[in-house]
Amino acid sequence: MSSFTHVLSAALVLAALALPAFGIEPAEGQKILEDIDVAVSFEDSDFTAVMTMITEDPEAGIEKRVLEQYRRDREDKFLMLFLEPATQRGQGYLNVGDNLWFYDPESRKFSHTSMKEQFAGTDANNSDFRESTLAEDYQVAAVREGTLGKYSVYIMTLEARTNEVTYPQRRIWVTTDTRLVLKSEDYSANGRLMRTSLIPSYARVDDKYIATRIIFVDNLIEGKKTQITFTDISFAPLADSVFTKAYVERVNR
Amino acid sequence: MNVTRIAVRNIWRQKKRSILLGGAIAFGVMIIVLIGSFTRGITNTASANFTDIFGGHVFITGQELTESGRLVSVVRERDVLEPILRSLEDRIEKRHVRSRTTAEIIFGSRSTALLVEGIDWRDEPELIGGLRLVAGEITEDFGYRSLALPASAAEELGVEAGETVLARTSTVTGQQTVAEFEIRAIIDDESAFGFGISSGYADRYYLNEIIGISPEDYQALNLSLRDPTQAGAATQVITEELARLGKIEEPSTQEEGMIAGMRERMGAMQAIMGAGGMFASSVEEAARWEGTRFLVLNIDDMMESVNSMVSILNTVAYVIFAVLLVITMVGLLNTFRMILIERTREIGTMRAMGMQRTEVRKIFLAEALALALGGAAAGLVVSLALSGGLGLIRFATDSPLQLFLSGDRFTFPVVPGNILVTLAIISAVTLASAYLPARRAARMDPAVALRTHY
Repeated sequence: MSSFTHVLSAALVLAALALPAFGIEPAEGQKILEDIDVAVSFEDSDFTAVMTMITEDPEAGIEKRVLEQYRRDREDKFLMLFLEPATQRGQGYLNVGDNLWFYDPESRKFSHTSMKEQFAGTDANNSDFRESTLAEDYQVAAVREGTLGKYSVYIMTLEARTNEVTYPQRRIWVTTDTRLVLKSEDYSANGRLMRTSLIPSYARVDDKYIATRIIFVDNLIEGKKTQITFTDISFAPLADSVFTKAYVERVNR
Repeated sequence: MNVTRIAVRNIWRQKKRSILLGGAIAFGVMIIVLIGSFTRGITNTASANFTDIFGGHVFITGQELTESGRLVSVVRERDVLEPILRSLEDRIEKRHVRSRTTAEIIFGSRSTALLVEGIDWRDEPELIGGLRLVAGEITEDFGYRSLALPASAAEELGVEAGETVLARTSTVTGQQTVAEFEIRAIIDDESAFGFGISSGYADRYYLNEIIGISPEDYQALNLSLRDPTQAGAATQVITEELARLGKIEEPSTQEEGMIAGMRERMGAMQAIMGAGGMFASSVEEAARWEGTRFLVLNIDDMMESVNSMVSILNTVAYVIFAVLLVITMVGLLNTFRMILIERTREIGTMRAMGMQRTEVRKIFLAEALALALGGAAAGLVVSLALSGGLGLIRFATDSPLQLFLSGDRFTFPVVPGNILVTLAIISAVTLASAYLPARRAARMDPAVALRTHY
């Protein structure tokens, strides 16, 4: 990282620390990240849902996309298939481990893409749809207690451990009791706020939580945001073949 | 006896037949010359446009691996390249280093895609001279955070020179990042070609900072050669030396070589297009390497798809020409047989007056040659007129055909070699068609010919 980035990172950390702190040690902060990951990951079951994405763009207007999402967190796999609009029906994103492919039914070809890329022109990134890996990807620079609306939260400043994470710096608001992320501010390497994510609602399944509504606000383009809602949630086991290229091609026939 | 004068007179005597035959020849010549001129024009223009876009004839890019095995596009081991380039000093006119990224340029609520070229302004005065200004100014001291923005992008964003925009892009490792640019100049789109998206120019050191590489690193080294036709030879020298140093992947089988070659070209093209970090994928542990692995392309590699298309077009033209030649040949053969019958008594008279057999043969062949050359000349004139007219048609500067346009038009250069070969083929075919009837006419017995009535 450049010296300029170091200065900004330090400024971010100092700004976080300048406000009243309540004695949260970094190690404790790291534990909070681990708890977040556990709370929203499904290591013991598969996950299926229908995602409805509404993107509001001041220039392009409102666009609606509907997808089916399949996830198997224990193997770091997911598949997303477009159902709407008709022009994108059959397109898909298949992730297996470190490899993410985009499938185009028109050309019947798979092409490599990156987790860090924006998802289908929305304000979401491809990495937003895989399991949460905050503890692995980030280290805690600062933690303090605060409030967000009526909730007591930890306000945590995170720095990426490597240069391969989508956002080098993040600030997250995490409920103190349930360890759920309610808000996230995502920063570029030079400290510029790029995106704000709001998660106003979760559904609880046993001791796990699923975000049922997420709002991504583009902080660079005035008025641009994407709202995602999850419905038809299921934890029924999925066939191994679902997370294969052959399956993606088969559903398009 | 003036054989040529007799031949021309004979052609003139049968105008309708001569026009029909000559017209068929003219059509074939027109097709082959027009298509040949068109394909040469698009080849030349595409090659020149590629050279302008990428600033050279030979392009060297590099790939390195992160700790987790992901590919990033960057050239850091410059000391490996330097001795190789010194050995080619006499062939290299100039070197340009560039970094590139594709960015979303944002102004208020508007955004547009842009390919941003990071250049060393002091080292590329010819680029400065080639950019046509619409507003603002471009000098060697262009400014660290300044951007020369194409007019179409400026219009889309509603931005003017002097205003500040944001650029959302990714680092070489694919991390999201954003930077500010001041629009110092707005340039004509015709001079900012970029494969269907606009191309802007910025300071390379600033761009390096944005995409997360050191100031002295770069993503592409472009060599301008004194003789562009030497691009292939220069590429071979560089590739062989890098291979000797183990800095180029060596496939173990031929099939692997083809696949590796395609993959390498994709990687190089991605780096050249400023997408080096976007499609970074993991490399299997067994296949990982240390340091920079180089990829060398040249203008001929960029032109591969264009050359394929040109080859198809030329093949179509040759097929049409061959079919027309066959038809013409059959027509000529039958026509000269008819002429032989019609002029039997005339031939007998000429022979009786002392004309030799060779002269009779020459008259027939001269008629055939005059038809061929007359028809070819007419076809050539029509081809030149058509290409002149087609060359006046203007296309939009954001047309998908932009790669093949010089400015906003197609060019149709005259290819003398092509014309001469066509004339030679036409002449040979018509002479071959007329030979048998000519020989038969020459062998006629004068007394028999004089007695013959048809």
